[in-house]
Amino acid sequence: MGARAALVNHDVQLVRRCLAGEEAAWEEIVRHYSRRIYNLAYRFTGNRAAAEDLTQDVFLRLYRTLEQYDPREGDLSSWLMRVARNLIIDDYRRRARTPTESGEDLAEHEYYLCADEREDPHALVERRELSEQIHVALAKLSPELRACVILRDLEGLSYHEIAELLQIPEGTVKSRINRGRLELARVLRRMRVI
Amino acid sequence: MECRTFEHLISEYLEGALPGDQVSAFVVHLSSCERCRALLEDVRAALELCRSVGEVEPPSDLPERLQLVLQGAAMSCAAFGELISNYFDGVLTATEYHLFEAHARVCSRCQQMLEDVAAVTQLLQRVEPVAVPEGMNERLLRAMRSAHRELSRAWWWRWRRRWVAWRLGWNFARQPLLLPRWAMAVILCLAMLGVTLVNFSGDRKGSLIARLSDRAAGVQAEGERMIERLGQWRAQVSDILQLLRTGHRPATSDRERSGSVSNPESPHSPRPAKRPAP
Repeated sequence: MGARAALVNHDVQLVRRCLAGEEAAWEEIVRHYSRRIYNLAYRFTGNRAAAEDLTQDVFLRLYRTLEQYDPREGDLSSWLMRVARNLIIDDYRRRARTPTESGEDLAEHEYYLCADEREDPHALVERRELSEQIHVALAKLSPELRACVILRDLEGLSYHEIAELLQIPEGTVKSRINRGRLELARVLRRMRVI
Repeated sequence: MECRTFEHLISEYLEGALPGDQVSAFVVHLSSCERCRALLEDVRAALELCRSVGEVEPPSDLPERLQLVLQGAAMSCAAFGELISNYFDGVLTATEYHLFEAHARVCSRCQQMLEDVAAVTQLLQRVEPVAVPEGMNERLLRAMRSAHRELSRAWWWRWRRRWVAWRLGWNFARQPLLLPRWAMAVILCLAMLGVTLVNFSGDRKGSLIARLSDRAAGVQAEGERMIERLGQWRAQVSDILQLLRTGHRPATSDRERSGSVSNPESPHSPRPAKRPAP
């Protein structure tokens, strides 16, 4: 309880400082959350440039809507990620409807993982390759299956949360996740990853 | 007859189904050709051997395996596919679970699919986050700074933000979330007070507590006196009322009694009730 109170207190102070226009507070938020939000954007766009643009949109929106944060509804981190997820999903839906720009640079671009200095370089390369292949395979799924699999297996959301986020029934979420996994297994087998 | 024709007719000959006109030609060739005679003997021997072979013992677990096949066949591959996620989530009903397992045992394709999906879910858990591009955080902050400049040109925006920040702090301070901490503080204060009182009474023979109880007794005595006086005043007021109504005073002894009845707890009335002058 004490830890949670301290956390909420920290969140509230941070938000108040942000609202007061304190730049250091915004820096803290950017430093803490940019990586998670960027990764989420990257998973949905499959394109580094688009992911950065989307991340910037998300932060600008957060900047405008931060005053809607209510500490009684949960901590800042889950609020921020919820807003970010909604924005990224909206963007994903828009792009799925107009599939003219298919900026798939997954295969061509080098894949930068956060490297641990002490790690064996071979293992690192292997890990990079594997993650890259998984992203490539994910990009081959149909948009609705892909969204469900990303939210469930990469973001770790519950069925209920995904249903709320995508505004579809929970049963549909389940069946899409299932179909998505089967499809992904097929694709990865064709790619000889498994 | 040529050897090749002879070979074609061997089976029919052995089964006695060769037409009569061909039998003689067959027999003539048989007697003349050493190789074909040996062949016929081999075929006959093989045939007899085959006929002599009785039933073989089926594998002991055949019935169970057949049962499994039947059970497995009770679930279609499509239905199996639909249940894979539920299987990994552990939310299948008992019946579904048994059918599912049975199907996985007999259908190698579905078994493979199950293994693949398990592998995929494990792989997905190993997907690493990518590092943010160089300088992205600075670019984000720049964008937010320019948004801030633009927005704060409007005075209402600045005031609104300040108001929200203040309200946030106020709401937070009122939150029940903080109550346990205050409760703790209050309990600590009470405990300290208690300890102090006990120490005082131990050190100086209860002087503080004694003083407090003396004071309390004084207050009680004063209260009793006030109640007594109130009774007397009441008696006097009713005397006056009686006087006004009837024009003469009631008997003093009655009034005295009623006055003392109203104060039964004070047997030693300190002062006699004052009577108004007649």
